[in-house]
Amino acid sequence: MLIVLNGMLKYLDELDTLDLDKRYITTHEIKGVSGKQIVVEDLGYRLEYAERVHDFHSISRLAEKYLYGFKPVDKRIIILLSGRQALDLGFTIELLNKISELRSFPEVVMMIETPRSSDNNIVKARFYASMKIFGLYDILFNYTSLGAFKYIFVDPDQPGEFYNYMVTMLNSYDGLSKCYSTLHLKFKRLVIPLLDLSILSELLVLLGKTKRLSNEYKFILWVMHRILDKAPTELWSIARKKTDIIRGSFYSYRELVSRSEETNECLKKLVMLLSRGSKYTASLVDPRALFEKLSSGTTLSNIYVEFSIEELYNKIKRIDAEDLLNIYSLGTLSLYIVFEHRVLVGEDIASILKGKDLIVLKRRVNELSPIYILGVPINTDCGYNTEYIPMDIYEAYMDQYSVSKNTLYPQRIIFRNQVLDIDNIHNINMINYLGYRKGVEEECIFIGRKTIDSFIANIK
Amino acid sequence: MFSKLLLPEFSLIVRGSILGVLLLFTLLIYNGSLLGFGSDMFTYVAETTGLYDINIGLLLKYLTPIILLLTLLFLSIRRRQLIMGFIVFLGRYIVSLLVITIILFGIVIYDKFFSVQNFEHEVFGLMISTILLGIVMVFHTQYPIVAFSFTRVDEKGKTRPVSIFSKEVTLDKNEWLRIKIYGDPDQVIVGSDPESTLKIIEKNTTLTHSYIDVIPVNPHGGYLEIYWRGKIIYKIKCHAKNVDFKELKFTVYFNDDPVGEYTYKVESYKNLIEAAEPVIRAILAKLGLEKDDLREVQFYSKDQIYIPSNMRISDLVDVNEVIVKIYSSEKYLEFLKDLSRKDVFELWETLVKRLEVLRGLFSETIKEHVRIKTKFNSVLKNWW
Repeated sequence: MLIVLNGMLKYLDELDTLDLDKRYITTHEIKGVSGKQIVVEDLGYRLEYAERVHDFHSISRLAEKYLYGFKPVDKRIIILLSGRQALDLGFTIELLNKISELRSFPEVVMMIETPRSSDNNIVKARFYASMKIFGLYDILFNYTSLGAFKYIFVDPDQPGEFYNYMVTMLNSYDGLSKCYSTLHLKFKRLVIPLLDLSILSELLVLLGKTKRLSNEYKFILWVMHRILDKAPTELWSIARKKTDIIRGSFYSYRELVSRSEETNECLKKLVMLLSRGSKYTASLVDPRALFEKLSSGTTLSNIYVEFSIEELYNKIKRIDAEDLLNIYSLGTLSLYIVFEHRVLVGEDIASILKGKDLIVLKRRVNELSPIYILGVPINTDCGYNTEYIPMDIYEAYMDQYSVSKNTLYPQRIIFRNQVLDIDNIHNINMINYLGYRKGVEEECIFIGRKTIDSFIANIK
Repeated sequence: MFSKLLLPEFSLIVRGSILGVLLLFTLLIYNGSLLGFGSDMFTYVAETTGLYDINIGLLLKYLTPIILLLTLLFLSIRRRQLIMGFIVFLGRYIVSLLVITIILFGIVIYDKFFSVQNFEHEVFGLMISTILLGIVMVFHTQYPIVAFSFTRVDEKGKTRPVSIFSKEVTLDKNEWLRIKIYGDPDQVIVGSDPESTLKIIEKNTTLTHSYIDVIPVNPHGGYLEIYWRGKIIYKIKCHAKNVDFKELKFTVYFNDDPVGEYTYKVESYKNLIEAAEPVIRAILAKLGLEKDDLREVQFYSKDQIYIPSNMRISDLVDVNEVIVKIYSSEKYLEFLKDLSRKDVFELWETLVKRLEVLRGLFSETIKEHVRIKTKFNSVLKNWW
């Protein structure tokens, strides 16, 4: 199940095409989408006000009201939310609350869009407070059943296709249940640009054809001009009757020229993409060599043999984690555990590489991308990844807490009929399950351990 | 304007008779018989003052009028025609005789004044002469020395008078207006307003007068303006009644290539070249040529008989079709050096057809461009 909250509906176009059970929690009814919608119409206050300053009290009341009767029942629940919006955070907390009351926990995967560094202090503070709550949920869920809760930070302003890709991956990979707590993804998308090269060749052919046509047109006009210049006058009256044809042809010629200029721009862009790649995507093989092979008439299976997919796989497998791209780059990662090191492949290549460390992506072809799934232990008191959530967000939180703590937290956190107080949550410094366990193992002293321990004891 | 004084009746006859009477008076004064001096002026001066001998006085008495007569007559009639020339001569002759008389009176008065004698009689003569001189000067200088008469003339040369006081002249079929000018024709300018609505035929000179013929070019007519020494004297509306039209068909060839056929009505008093002028101008405009590019215009009848270009339309009996051949310098036919005329036309047809085919190909290619653009956009989405 995929739950998309209001703040992430800007990626709706890409997400709606996914073959999943989808729920959208939205403030406006959206028409023509395949997923079910929970429309939060009655906000009781202005939307933008809620996004920026409104406290969690009314949000949690709203969430209680609108999520009444909604049962998140599935093997794996993927939640996309924006850390910048109170509505998203409040509804997510209420969802987690609901899930915690179920008899057996589903696997919850959250992708959280972090605020920008230029955002308002209130937004940053609220985000930090929510992360603290998620950290506690992390401990509680994963302590009860390991692998039940995981969350991933994502930089804001990602391309839309990114979420489509990520959700596909998170949904289809069974090995994800072994990962837990805060996850950090590093990957690079490497593709074999077959379709792109075929379009490149089409573009070249079309541009050549256009140029030939326009040259011929110019030549004909030149000859006509020449004849009219030197011809007997009788011809002029004949020529005058054909002005429609000449003028009409000029209009279509002009359109052709402007179209071909656009196509030329496309060609430039395509060549640029193939040679340099985009933010996450790059060409797996040298596009020039591939283009030569394609244009010399080699079949596709031959190309796979020639490039030797296995060799490519080995080469990709050897790529170090440091060389890959972070999907979250705001904070610094200093300490991590490698949960998984795998290669994402398209459906077509999956059959060639049987029995390897693969994640097969449905409805995707010609891809061979390395991915690292890292676990991030966070424990501020013990000094594990203190900078993973940047310092300025922490400072914003401290500022706001002293001003008005009520706006940062819901009134109480309920986990299986146990209530956590705001002050308790505030007193516990930023911690997650991995950080908690590491702290316990290394016998590091951190604030709130007693609270958490007693809480866990009560669950059992 | 429209002054009766410039009609020949006044300007020539009345002025001529007045001047004739004045000449008689002058001659009488000169002869000494009018004022009772007893002898002519030259002899009288010789007798009273003794400036010269009496014999010389007698000689001068006869020589002076004869020499004046010969020289002034010659000078006056040389540039003007006979009648106005004679009037001018009369004026000048009287003036010169009176001037001589006044000088002679002056000499006598001067002499008598210093020798203390009675000169009352001479002063009276001087006054009479001066008054006469003044009257003559008015007639000779202030009254324009010109006269106009207006008549209408038909084809057979019959003339009918025209009343110019209605300020409008209506001419019948085949008639034109003739303006007779008595006087120096170089000082008279005849024009039309608006321009070229009236056709003005060059001045003709006869023994007694010169004349100008005016023909309205179209039935709407125009204003005829007559200037004398730069001053406007007459402005008369002039138009033709019952203009005779003839329908002519002009077949035009430009450098022996047929260009077009035009049929329209032409006023029959026009020349052929005048009648064909609109057509020629239209052809030049059509071909984008200047009037200077035009080298030759020839007219032929349907039977290929040459017609002179200044032939009158009314004289062209039995001719309903005129072939107009316009010639310009041959810079347009270079292309035909290598190709025959037929080849050029075929080439043109082929080019036009190919252009149509190209147009079809263009729209197909445009569709392909659009299709590939959408394909490209879907591929572009894949690169993130």
